[in-house]
Parts: sequence; structure tokens; C-alpha cells
Amino acid sequence: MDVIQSMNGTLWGFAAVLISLVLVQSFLFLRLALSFNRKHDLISKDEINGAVRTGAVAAVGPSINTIVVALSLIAMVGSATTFMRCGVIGAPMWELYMANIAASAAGVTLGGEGFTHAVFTFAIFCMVLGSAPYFINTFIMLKPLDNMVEKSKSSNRKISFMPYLSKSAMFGLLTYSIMDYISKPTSVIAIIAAGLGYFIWESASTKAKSPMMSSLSIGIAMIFGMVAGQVASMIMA
Amino acid sequence: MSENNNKNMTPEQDYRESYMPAVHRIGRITMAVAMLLCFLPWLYYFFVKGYTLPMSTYISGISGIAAIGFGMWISEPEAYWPVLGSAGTYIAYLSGNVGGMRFPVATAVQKNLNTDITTPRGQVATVVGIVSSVVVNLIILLAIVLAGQFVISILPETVLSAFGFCVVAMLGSMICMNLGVGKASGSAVVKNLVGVIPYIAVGICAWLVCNKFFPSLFAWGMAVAVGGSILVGYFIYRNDLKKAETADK
Repeated sequence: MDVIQSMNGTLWGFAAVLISLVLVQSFLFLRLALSFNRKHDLISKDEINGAVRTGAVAAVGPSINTIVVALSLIAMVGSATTFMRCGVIGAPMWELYMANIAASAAGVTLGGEGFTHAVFTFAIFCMVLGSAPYFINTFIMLKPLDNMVEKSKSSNRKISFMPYLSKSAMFGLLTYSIMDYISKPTSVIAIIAAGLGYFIWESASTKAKSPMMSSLSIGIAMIFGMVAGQVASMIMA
Repeated sequence: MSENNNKNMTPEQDYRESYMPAVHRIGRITMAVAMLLCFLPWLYYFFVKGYTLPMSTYISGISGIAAIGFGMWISEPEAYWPVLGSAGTYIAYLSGNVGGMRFPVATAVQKNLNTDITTPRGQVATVVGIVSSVVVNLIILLAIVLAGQFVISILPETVLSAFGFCVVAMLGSMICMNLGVGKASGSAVVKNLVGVIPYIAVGICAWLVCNKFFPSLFAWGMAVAVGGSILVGYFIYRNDLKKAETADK
């Protein structure tokens, strides 16, 4: 732990730089989107507020969910590295995994005996390497992908392929993600309860014609699912 | 191009000719800077401080990580891109938590406004939603990092383990949202469900093949699911197109 403590201060400096980059990028995209919106009046002020609320609400659950893993990561690699790695491309679970690979490649255990400055440096390298290739991927691939879409948009077909593209990709992805959980009965209960919660809340907000209520749907449904899953696992235990 | 000229364009034209190029300019520059900056701490400790390890250790670490990561590195952003859009994907892959946070946010925002990412409207709203999630996530993360141990000690065990269900609960509600549950009539929901069954089937097959039958293909699973679904979607589209064109004649 002494090793980590001695490097933690400097690492906070690096963390601050990286987090600033995340914020600057978000700000640049937001400014671009909003000025484009001002010019063409695509979505109203209320709708913008709704989108802000949806983003905020949907971020709370997963952020809190990662507390436990994030805390063990703090214990292993210190607070600065945890903040740096989880705030900039990465999720606590993946970072912990990468740090573990580093430790085992170096023949030590995380935060244990033999976790020297050099091993910690190596662990940081491995965590960074675990996600850095994504930067290269997006740098190379996204522009050609957009050009492809624009090209297919301009063809004069009776109906467009675009709705098919987003719907098929979305359901392929959702189904694939949910399959990881389906073998656990408690998870299935959580899924069903979340669906039910969504149905109840969304019907009510449709009836009330309230977009404000509607932007909370996912958050409310998640609470339903989490409570049901937890209750079920307590009963089954 | 003069400002005046810009104003006379339709949103679609302007979107194609000035918005999209700007997105890629910002995205590519920030990703390149991020690539350099994220290695900075390591460069500093390795070269300036001299905290080195034998080359062999580095090689074994690198190969271990590449073995796990490679498939995801080259396919995952493309799997999320049809939902996040380019701006969203750039933001998501810099800020992290793509599957568990940015993807659900993008979906929810688009559903609420009844639009999708390929329209200028959907683009703008998605960017707003994702940026909002980035800021909230960073605030919570900072709080956790600074006060983590204390927070854990005041939350009861039951509450903490309930959060283990948060991702799966989110996926469940996203499926309902995409089927129009609660918003559309019952028969419309059933019709939506029937329409997406082929994609669900592809997703299940991809999962079984890449997780159960050939676990070594694990890293490719998501790409197979999305790629396969899009392919099936394309066949359905061709079929619908043919119908629409013959009906017209």
C-alpha cells in the first residue's frame, strides 16, 4: 500500500488532465449539437431538458452499481488510478481484470507482497492498453461508416433501409446482452419485474401526457427490477 | 461557405455537409489526443522515474491482454455505433461504460422523442442525453472515490446487493421500451414483437455459438449478433422494398 500511496499524489495530476479531456470533448459535441439545433429548430427546449433528465437518471443506477468493484479497485491500485481509469474509457470491472493480468504476468498479487513501483507502473500500462485500441478503432472506422450511411440515404428508394438498420442492430445487441443473465432465475425475475414496472409507469405517463414522467421510466423500471431481484434472491437463499 | 448559405440549407443537407464533418473533426482530434494522454502516466513512471520491468514481463502482459481484448477492440464500437451514432460513439469510447450506461441512455432518449440516430433530430437529442450521463457519472464516481469506504459502511448489505440487478433490470426495461409497451396499443406491441423475432433469434444463436459451443469466440459474440441481425434486417428490407415497389405499379 505504501507504493500506491507514494504514487497516488502524482497520479491525481494525470487523472485531472484526462478527466478534463473527457469534459472538453463532451462540451465540444454538446456545443456543436446545440448550435445545429438552434439553426434548424429540431427539438424544443422541453425536449432538450427531457434528454438531459433521461441521461442523468439512467446514469445513476450503473454508477452506484459499480461502487463495490470500484472500491476493491481503490484498495488495489489507489484512488487516483481508479478515478482516472473509470472516468476515462473503462469500467471498474474491466480495469480490475486488466490489473489482475498485469499482476499475474509479473508474478505477484495485486497490492500484495512484491507489488513494487515497477509493478504498479506495469499495471497502469496494462489497464491503459486494455482500452487504448478503441481510440484507434473509432478514429479509423466511424467516418467511413457515416459516409456509407449517407450514400445509402441519397439513393431514391421507395423505403429507406435506415429504420431496419437501427432496429435489427438494437435487438441483436439487446438479446445478446440479456442472454448472459438468463440462466439465473433471480435475474429473470428482475427482468420481468422491470418490464412490468416499465409498463405501469409508461402507461400512466402516456395517459397523463407527461414527457417529464416518461423520461423517468427507465429509472423507475430499474428500481422495480432491482427490488424484485433482491427480494427473490433473499427468498430463495 | 458563408453563414447565409448555410441558413438556406435544409437540416438534412446541412447535417451532411457541415454537421457530420465537424463531428468527425472533433472526434478524431480528441481520440488522437486521448491516445497520447492516456499513456502519459506510464511514460512518466517508466522513462522518467525508471520503474522498469524486464521486457519478457511486458510481452506476456501485452499478449494476455491482446488475446482477451482483440476481438472486442475491433468489433465492439461498430456494434454500438448504429444506436449511439458517431458523436455518441466518440463520447462513449472516451468516457467508458458503453454497454451499461451510454447505450441505454441513447436508446431511452431516442424512444422518448420517437426518433432514431439516423435523423438530425435523433443525433442532437442523443448527444444531449449522453453528455448529461457523462457529467452525472463523473460526479458520482468522484464522490465514490473520495468517500467510498464511508458510503459502503452506511448502506445496508441488502441495498448493495440489489444493485447487482441493475444492469439486467435496465435491459428488461429497454426491451419493453423498444416494443412500445405502455405507449402503443396492445396489438401494436404484439406486431412490433413479431417484427423483431428474427433479430432476437439471431442474438440468441450468436450467444450460444460464441459462449457455449465455441467459448474461444467469446470476444466476437457481440459483433456476430449485431452483424448477423443487420444482415437479416437487410433481407427483410429488400423483401419489403420489392413489395412496396410492386404495389406501386
